[in-house]
Amino acid sequence: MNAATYLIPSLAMERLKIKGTLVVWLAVFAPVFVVIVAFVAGYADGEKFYRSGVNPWINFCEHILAGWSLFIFPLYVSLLSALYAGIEHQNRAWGYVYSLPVPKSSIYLSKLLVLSVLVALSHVALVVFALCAGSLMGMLKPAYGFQDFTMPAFMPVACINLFVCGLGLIVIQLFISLWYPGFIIPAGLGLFATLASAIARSFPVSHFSPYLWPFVFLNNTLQVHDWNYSILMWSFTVYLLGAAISLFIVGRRSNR
Amino acid sequence: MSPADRMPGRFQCFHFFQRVERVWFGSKSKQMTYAIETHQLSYCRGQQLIVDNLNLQVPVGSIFGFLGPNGSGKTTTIRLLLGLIRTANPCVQIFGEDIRENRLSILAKIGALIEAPMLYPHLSGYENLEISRLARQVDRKQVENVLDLVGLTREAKKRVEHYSLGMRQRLGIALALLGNPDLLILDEPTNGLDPAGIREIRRLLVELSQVHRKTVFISSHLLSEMEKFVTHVGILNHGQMLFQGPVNRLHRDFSAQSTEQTLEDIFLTLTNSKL
Repeated sequence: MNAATYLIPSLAMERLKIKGTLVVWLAVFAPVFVVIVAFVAGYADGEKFYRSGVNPWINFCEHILAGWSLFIFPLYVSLLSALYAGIEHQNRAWGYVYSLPVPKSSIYLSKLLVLSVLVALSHVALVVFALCAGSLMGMLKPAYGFQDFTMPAFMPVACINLFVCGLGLIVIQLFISLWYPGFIIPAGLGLFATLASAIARSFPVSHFSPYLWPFVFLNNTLQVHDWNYSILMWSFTVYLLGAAISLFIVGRRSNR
Repeated sequence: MSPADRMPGRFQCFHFFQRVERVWFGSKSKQMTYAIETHQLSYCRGQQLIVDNLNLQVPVGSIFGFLGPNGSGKTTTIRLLLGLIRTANPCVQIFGEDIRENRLSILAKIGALIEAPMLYPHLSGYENLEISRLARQVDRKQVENVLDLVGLTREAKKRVEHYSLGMRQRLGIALALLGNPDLLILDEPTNGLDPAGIREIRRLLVELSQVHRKTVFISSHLLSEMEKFVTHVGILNHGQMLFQGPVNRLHRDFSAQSTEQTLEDIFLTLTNSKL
């Protein structure tokens, strides 16, 4: 039997486990939250943000990307991974899971892939909800001009790249969530790392924090060619290394 | 000298003779006589010795009652048998295979229920079984079969969070039965069941053993119930095996000359005298 023989059923098992849980809802709620905040700010104070003749989508998407990359994305991954691992921790299911004839590597890899796919879907949802919110703004506040322009191309491109920038933090948070039973410690560590990175973002050393990489990638600009593309390589490297290390450590752990 | 210091030398000596036996008599020599076999299995948690030089031998096709007071090391032993706890030298063989080297093929032959059933309450009974079915890569029809065996067909679509204790226990047994395992390891399987349910499970386990030649390794505190159907017993106390063998030999060895003692009497005598 090869690895795919076990990985495919493992993925099907994980799909069943997250059915009807908050894990799926959070994957939708987190991008909705960011878009709603940007929408409310734009609706209430749009005169300050949107000028006549200038594409209002640019400023609207900028607000969404800033909020998402600096705070919401790393916080959301911390909460999502803690909730996801909690499905096993809360039900004391690890002993049962490890007593099934499935390689521990498949168990871990399926969880990593499902978490990664959920985060990817959140970025798709972010673009879709932003599009819907901007269109709604165009109907409710035609003076802002949303109906006269279209969403700029940098928005979906940024979302794809932000997802890749977040791979490093996904693998780290998943490891922490699998290692520590319960919700508080993994979520708390993720919250602490996010806030510390955000507060210290003006210091160059903070740019080594995977929790800040989505923000550092954007480089305070909406110009696609000025983004910090080296972050993508760093993040992907941490993702692969982190997965290998996690496989080794989690696979050797005893379940008492 | 701690068990960890004692073990390596004896372990190497045992393995030398095992290799000689295999070469001289062939690899099939007594491997299939025992479903479970451990050799000086020991485990410490910190400074506390939980399992002490356990030499367990569970014959194939038997119903083996694994008995012991609370804290004697029964659940830890079961976890060691399943490879859930790592030790330096586990010395565990299931159907003649080393658990470290053949983990997946061994687990495919085992159905286990350890302490309380580990279920996902947000899923239905059917979905919980479906997860196990996917792991064991067996036919969908087996899910319906085991649900029927444990009497949960009507409640299969209900979420487990709405199940009673007895229903959860039945579902745990169904999970252990899925995949038609050759070895069932059951820790307190009748917990929470009513008398009719206990009798039904007893009947099922006897049928699995006698008709289908399955091996049943069962741990329980209901000694009067165990006495009705187990063929072999192992009595554990403070991590040490006080007795292991057929039930009739237990009675022969420990009953007084004129009076027949129950399993409970013998168990209490053995475990109290070793305190």
